[in-house]
Amino acid sequence: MDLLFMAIYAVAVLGGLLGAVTYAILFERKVIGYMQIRTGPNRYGPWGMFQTIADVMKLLMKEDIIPAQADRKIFVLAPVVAFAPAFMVFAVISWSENLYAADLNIGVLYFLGVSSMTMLGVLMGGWSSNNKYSLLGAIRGVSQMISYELPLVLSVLGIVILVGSLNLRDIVFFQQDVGLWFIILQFPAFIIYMISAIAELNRSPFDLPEAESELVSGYHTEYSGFRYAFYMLAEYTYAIAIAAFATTLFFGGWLGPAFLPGIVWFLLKMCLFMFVWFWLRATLPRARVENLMQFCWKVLIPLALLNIVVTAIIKVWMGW
Amino acid sequence: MNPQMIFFLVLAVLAIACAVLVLQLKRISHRVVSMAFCFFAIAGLYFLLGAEFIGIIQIIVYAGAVTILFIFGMMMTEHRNITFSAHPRKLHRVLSFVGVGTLLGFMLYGILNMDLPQNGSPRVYEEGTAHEIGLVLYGHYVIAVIGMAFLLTAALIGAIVIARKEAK
Repeated sequence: MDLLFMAIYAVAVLGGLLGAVTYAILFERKVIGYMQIRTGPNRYGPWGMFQTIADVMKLLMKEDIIPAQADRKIFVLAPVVAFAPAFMVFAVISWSENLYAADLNIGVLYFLGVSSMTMLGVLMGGWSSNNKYSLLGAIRGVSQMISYELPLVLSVLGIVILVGSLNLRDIVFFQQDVGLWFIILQFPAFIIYMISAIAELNRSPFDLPEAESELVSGYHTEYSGFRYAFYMLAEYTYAIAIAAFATTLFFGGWLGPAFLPGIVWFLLKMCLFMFVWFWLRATLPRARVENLMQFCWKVLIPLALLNIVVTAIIKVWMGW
Repeated sequence: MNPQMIFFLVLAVLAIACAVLVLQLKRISHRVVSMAFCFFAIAGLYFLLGAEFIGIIQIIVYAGAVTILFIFGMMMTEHRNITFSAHPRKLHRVLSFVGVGTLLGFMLYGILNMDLPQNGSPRVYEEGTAHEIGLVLYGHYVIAVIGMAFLLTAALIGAIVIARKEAK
């Protein structure tokens, strides 16, 4: 019975996620459209509501092409490997005080560890396509993701030190007890987290792995049809997961005034994060490779380490 | 059969099958991927045993870092279909068989003679948590941990020095 409940929960989350990704893409196009003083998609359905559905229909009905020289098995497996970890991390996200899947004691570690597996899917896709643009895109993507994972993890550690637990629910309960969200207590960590999260997601201004002016479209150049759709799904799922993680860590999860239920607050805060990413995409130009790596290793990581040291000193000094 | 047993069987079969495939597959890229799946299955077994911390470390270190390291190694070297010569010498076969048999014997001996605590005793669940491991590592074994840290730093600096020389 427990198992059945778990399966139903997982399917429900997956269904909700597919809907969320559909409308996240529409949201992105609309936001960028209005920022560039145009309307964005507006032909299919009211306010362009069915645009993404039409796009997905097109992708699903396309001919399934596998390049003749590609490493067939890995080529087929790669999109799945890219998507599975991005979905697996939702197990530890607590949507509201009562709605959660796994109350894992090492939730933070689980999220960071499992989400780093997406790299394998990217690398497999780029490698197996047998195409120089794909391979270059994959290598760029992986080196960027490995580098930016360090500041991402280090920025979260300050919170873990203050709370004294790796459990995501404990982190929210701590914010409830203190009455302050971690965005105030750990503001430098929040800035570092946001920058490295964007780089982790390969989103603009750090979308070097997909830089279309130099690399066609990066590691999924050779992918088309529903496999391409799977890669897009993985990318947006991961974006939603990172937004949910940030909401839990820095924005107090489901906390908020009582006139709305917790889950609504959670989703609203997530939408705010998604909006920031789309906003940055519409405003900032793309960074250069060497600047990107230097910025990570020479600015973000020392800052994150400094934040950890200061947090630890304050914690001992205040005797929390 | 309870669900735990079913999951155990699925994961165990997956781990063994992937380990065999690592030896059996022809292309090195396929081998690396099946190795990653093997690591994942083993991490699943750890989760099933309630050792969540070890399981997640297995995913981060082995399925994440080691696999990516292997893939980069594969990319930087030749990746033609290289197989060992089809008929190894008889002496090789006998020697490797004896070696594997001895290892299996030792492991079986160790597993069968292990002093396992009774099911459901609270100690079992407390020993594997991150909190407990942290206390032990930074309490009783703190000198060993710092020694390891020095060793790793030295290795890191050494790697950078070697890479620098090559770049000139």
